[in-house]
Amino acid sequence: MEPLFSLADIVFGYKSGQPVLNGVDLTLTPGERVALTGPNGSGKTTLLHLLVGLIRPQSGVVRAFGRERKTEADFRDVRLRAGLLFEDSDNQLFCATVAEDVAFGPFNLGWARERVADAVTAALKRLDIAHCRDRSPNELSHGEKRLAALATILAMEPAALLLDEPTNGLDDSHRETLVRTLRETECALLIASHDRTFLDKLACRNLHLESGRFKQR
Amino acid sequence: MSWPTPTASRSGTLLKPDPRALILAVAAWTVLLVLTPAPRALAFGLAAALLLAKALGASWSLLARRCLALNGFLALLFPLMAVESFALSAWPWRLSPERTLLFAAVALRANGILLMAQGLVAAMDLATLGHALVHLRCPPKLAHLMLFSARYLTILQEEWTALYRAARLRGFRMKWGPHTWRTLGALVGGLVLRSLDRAEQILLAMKCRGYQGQFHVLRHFRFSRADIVFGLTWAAVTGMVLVLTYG
Amino acid sequence: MHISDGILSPPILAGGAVLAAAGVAQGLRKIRDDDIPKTALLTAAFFVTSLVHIPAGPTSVHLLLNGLIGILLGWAAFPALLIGLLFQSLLFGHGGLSVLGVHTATVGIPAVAFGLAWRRWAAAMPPPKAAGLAGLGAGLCVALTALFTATILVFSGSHWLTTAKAFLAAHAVLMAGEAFLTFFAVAFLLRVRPTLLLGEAK
Ligand SMILES: Nc1ncnc2c1ncn2[C@@H]1O[C@H](COP(=O)(O)OP(=O)(O)OP(=O)(O)O)[C@@H](O)[C@H]1O
Ligand SMILES: [Mg+2]
Repeated sequence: MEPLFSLADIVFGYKSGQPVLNGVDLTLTPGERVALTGPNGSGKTTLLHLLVGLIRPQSGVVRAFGRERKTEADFRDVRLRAGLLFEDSDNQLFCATVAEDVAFGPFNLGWARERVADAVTAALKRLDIAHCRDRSPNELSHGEKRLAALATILAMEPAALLLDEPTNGLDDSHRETLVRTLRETECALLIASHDRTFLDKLACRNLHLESGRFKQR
Repeated sequence: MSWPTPTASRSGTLLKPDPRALILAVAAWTVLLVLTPAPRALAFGLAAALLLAKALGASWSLLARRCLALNGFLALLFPLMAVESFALSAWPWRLSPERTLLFAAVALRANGILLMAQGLVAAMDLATLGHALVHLRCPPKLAHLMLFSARYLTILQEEWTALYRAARLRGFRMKWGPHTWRTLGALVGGLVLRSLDRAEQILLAMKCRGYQGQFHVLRHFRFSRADIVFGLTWAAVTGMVLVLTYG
Repeated sequence: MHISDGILSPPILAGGAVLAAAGVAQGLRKIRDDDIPKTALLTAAFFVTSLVHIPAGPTSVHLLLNGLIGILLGWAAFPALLIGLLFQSLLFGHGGLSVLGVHTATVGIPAVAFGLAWRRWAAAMPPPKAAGLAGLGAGLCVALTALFTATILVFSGSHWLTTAKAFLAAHAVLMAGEAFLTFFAVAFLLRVRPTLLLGEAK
């Protein structure tokens, strides 16, 4: 099967200092579930951002959805087909109400108003946060924000979900909701997390990032 | 610190106008009072604005707090304006009757506008205000800038508090002097930096969801019978102000 | 410190509104789609800092920061100030709705004029000098705002003359403070993020 993403020999470093990623290879095939682990600062967030072109590697090849991706224009449709959950939910929820936030992506996909409304309702219901619909993100608890942020990308019906520490701030029952929802989706999952028990419930394959490379464990 | 929120309960209010109608009414009211010189018309306007603000759901405590700020400022101005001359030769300084009357008009006008505006605040949160402005053909970029900054007020307020608390823990005390200005400079610089970093992340998050300069508003408003009640009340009050001015 | 509703004469309020509308329109034109989050967050940040009160003798003053706003936002300072002033008047009752235009103009015109000039001049300066210029300019911006406001007060009626003088005196104090503050803030920003302020000069 054609992989959704494949990275080959990626080298990336921020302006200052040595490379964060130094020769990373990775493939993500449709429906696959991959756990991305590693100590703080090992480059998990960096890797997720590379996949959707928010940053570009110094060398190496990023292929996504069957094509090599290099320029900003190349990545535009990658971002619509792979949903990235950011580490800080507040940065992802920038609209006045949760419903508007969830609708933002679908509107940009060019969907009709009714389809957007249905997608919003469905996404909020799937994550058990329908009651937050007309509230401002300011009034949500940490966990509700996390789920609302996830709803904003689920509503776009992506082929892959790239989740950066999705269980941050979630209590047990919300964590169960999250596990259930992620099990139900047919999306490929790439999950950066420190939460072992959560990853064990979901992921089949583990990639451990350390000093710029994947290490076998 | 807390900002008005979309779910602020409005049960028990007499008037429930469409937010667009309310914005237009407050704007027109402001123009009306600015153009009204007669103290008795202004006095009536003030009383009417108080009743309208109450009917729109403003609490006494909210109105009292806002009026306190304004009237504290006016109390400071009163002697400066109403005393004809502060020359030593003019001692004892005396209030001029004409100026006192002029000042009374100023105070009535300022309070009348403020009370009506607080009725607006009581009736809607900043998000609703922004949405209504979009529908009133306010330039979309301006309305969305407003919505956007309203969304992050609380968060930046918290970041400022955190910065300020950190400075206090290291012994900073706010008092007049170069040290205070230097510390505040660093704190303001820190807040600006955090805002810019956050803005960068937000833009990335927006791009991840296909942002290309478009914003859409989900909420739509519909005029209802409540607006007729509100409109008639407002028109009656306005008519009365005009009668008292020109009649 | 703001003038409240009720004081200024209608022609002056109208004039201020026209100037502000022109500035805001130009500002909105200059804000690119990708600048919206940045402009909005800086608007919120400056709203937050405008709530800071510094004790000064028997009373207190609050920060204006229009020099820094101009430096960071350029033309976008007009819409940012309009929104900040609207929030202040709605949420705290400071200032007032009828004076929104006048305030946006008196605070915004010096801010934008100096901000644009600074971005041009500072690009060729070493950071300490650029920060020094920012401080001087910030003081000047406060002075100009106070001067505009005092002039407007006097034009609204000769009975406001004493008030206008008091207004100038109060701002003379703030002027020195803001000059210092902006100097340190800009020096800090240039140190930790050299590209941030000067990169945009182009
Ligand atoms: N914008 C940036 N500029 C410079 N360096 C950065 C930037 N973002 C991250 N880094 C550095 O890159 C390294 C990898 O960071 P990254 O955020 O990818 O780690 P992470 O694995 O996600 O860590 P965590 O588990 O704490 O989230 C860190 O050493 C970090 O300091
Ligand atoms: Mg991370």
